Amino acid sequence: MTALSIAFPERLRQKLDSFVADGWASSADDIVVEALRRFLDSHEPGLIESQVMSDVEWGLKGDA
Amino acid sequence: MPDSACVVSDAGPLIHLDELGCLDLLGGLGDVLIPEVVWAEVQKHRPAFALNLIATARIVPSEAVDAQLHAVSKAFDLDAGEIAALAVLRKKRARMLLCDDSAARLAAESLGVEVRGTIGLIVRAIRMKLRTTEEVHHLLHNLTALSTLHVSQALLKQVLAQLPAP
Repeated sequence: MTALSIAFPERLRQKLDSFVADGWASSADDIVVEALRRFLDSHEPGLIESQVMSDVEWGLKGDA
Repeated sequence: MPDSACVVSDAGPLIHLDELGCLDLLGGLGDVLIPEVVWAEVQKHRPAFALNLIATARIVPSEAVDAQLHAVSKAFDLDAGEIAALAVLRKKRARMLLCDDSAARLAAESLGVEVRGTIGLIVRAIRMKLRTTEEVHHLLHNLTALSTLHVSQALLKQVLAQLPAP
């Protein structure tokens, strides 16, 4: 494991702390890691590339 | 059946095209519907956004989120603006979503929605004769310097290779 220091809005921090305090997660670290994992899964570079290249094809040859 | 007279925009393309001074590239798409939630996001990032530069823009109220959209929005972890855009699109039977977020694009495509982003709109400007080929090359070359759209230089190089020579 490695550590990463980040700054984020106070309001988000409060929501994060409440979420943990209410028992929905064991720690803020767990939530941030899970959120990061989900973001990276859904923003995989190969996916973005295919979406952009599809846009280029449409841009050049589309009908609208 | 989609209504070819309108499209719905998420915040990304509006913000990025405004940063580039290119809101006119939304011309010819029909009415550009902007959900209130999306408009609030745009104003937060671009307080001086000149909506009147998009002749066909209309800010529209949020629509109810049906069960299918609710499930998809959870599965893809969509934000409030993306959900609102898809809800309006389904209600108005708009033919296209304008969006730059890859997860939101996946979600929309899973619902059978055509999605296009900022780069597609910029490239389209050549076909629609809104910009010269040279101007589009210049915009794409400077995309990451002039806007907050994050794209790798390698991908931009691929995009530029597909365009007619300036």
